[in-house]
Amino acid sequence: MAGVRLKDLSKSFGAVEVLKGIDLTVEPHEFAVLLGPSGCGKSTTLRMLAGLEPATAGEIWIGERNVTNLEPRERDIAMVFQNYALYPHMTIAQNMGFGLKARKLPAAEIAERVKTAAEMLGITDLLGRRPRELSGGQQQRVAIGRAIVREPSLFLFDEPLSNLDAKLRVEMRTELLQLHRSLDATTVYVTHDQEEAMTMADRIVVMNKGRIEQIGSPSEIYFRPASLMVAGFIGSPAMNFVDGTVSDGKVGTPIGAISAPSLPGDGTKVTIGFRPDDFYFPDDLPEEETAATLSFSVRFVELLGARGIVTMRAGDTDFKAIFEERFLHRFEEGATVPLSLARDRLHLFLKETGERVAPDAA
Amino acid sequence: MSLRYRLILPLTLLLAAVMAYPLVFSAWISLHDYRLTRLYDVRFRGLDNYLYIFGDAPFLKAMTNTLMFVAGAVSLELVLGLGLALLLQRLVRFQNFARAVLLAPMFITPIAVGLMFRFMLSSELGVIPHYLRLMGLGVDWFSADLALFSLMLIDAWQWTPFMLLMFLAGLEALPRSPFEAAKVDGASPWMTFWHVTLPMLRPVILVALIIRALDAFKVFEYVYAITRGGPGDATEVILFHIYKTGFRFFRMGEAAAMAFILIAITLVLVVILYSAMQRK
Repeated sequence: MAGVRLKDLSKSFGAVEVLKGIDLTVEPHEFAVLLGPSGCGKSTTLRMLAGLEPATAGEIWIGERNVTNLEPRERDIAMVFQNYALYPHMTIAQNMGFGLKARKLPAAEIAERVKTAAEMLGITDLLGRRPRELSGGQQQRVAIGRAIVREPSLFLFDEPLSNLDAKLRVEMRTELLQLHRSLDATTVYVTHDQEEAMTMADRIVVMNKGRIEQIGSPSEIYFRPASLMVAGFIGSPAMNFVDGTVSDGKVGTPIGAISAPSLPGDGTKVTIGFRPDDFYFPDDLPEEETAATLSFSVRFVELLGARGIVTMRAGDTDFKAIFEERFLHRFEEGATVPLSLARDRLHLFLKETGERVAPDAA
Repeated sequence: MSLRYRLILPLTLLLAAVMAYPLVFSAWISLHDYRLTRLYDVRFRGLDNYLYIFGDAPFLKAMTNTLMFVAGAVSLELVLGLGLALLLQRLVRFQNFARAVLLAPMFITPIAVGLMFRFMLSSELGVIPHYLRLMGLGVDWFSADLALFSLMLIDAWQWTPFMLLMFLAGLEALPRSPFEAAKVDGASPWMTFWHVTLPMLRPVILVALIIRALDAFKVFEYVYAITRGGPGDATEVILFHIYKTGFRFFRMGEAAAMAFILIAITLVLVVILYSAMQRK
């Protein structure tokens, strides 16, 4: 099983630079997810990895081979496309076997491997049909089957679940993960869905505007976002931010002074971030752990079931907080509620560059 | 009469006058011994005209010529058109220019094309035989052996652009992703063409074939402008034969019967191709 290395990979379409020097290593057997907003270059990166787009500069290594200038078929990869990309005129069995046929395998072996993959995916009874007779979920299963019969050294997934409905997406997510565990193949998976990335990835690569913002495990990405962009992109509802200036070991903000450990020098402009789950009632948080206790006026509450999202205002900024249902009675519309922030739950970024500075959250 | 029937009445009358009446009249003619020279003596012959035609050697020869012409010209156009479309699709620069130039022959009136090639291929004063002679090749394009083939080439020259246009539009309308999947699947260009491009283009190919085949059945201008059916009966195609029977020999009854047979044959062709198109 091969790993992947991208070295200073760049891509321009005419004058538009879509990838600006990507360096990335994916270990053998790893499930890496490229995550980012649309237009961040994640799909382009994957397509270059597949050999569907030529690199403008830089190198692509799969295993011990420099494949930068190789055709897709010489790269020993399999790819699952967002719109399935099945061959409309072939039966499901022919679709799955096409790659093996291209490699001139004997018909008996093709049939055998297709059968095994079909059993694995539970689509044996569909083998004689054609793609248009199948539902979206079934088609995507076929597309995955077409990839696994090839037994490639690298699997590429380009937003494979985004055309499916929400329920099916969650089911397929689990299935894909089980499949990954049983095949143990190196996988690069592109998505814009952070939930997908968080649940599936061994490592997440967050991309933005043609660059890598952060590479890390899901928990690192969530609990230690390396930049303002990552902090704002990961988590739903999004992290709350407030701008301030460092003075006297505290950060002065429009909503009040917030103390934080290991601050940069006085006068530095910073952005403080805290997640909606990180609000405490003042009584529940010991004083030495409290960064600040601030007053918020409640605007409205959205009940999600066991929990609710409270939208509150302080200064002229809206903040979102998540509380369990049994606490929601405290947030009557228009009421002013004091809430505390914990020191070890704060995220601090330089306002100018968006870079993370200490403190480190747990 | 209600308003809606009154509203469609003018069009109904017009269609009856220009379509239904001539059709019925020619059907009537086809059942009679109707000669323009003996209009005072029109006799009912029943199906005799049809029966006679089927045993008539010149008619059968003309039909064979036509079928050969259609098969030859249309397959030539199919292959050339598809090849050019695939090349043109890959052309990065000058694509619009190349497209415009390649389409030009289609816009010339066929009779002019016929006259043009009559001179260009003429064995005495044609430019093409002249240069072929310089290369040591003496070819008489309108000899008994070659004339029909030359007409196919002329037809291909004029109508390959039509195929090109259809296939280019067809190719551009195909989804890109199956081709990318084929690339990743490791298919060679030839395998991709044979197993992906061609099957996906199949409906377009069938439509283009139907249109061109029906059109090629009607070939007349080149024959009229160049060979007049000769040498001998080597290029006597069905429409020219009907024209000769009807307007040279004034035997309208037979000519009408032949025309109806031609319609029947083309309808059969349409049905065959259409059902082939339905069955995917």
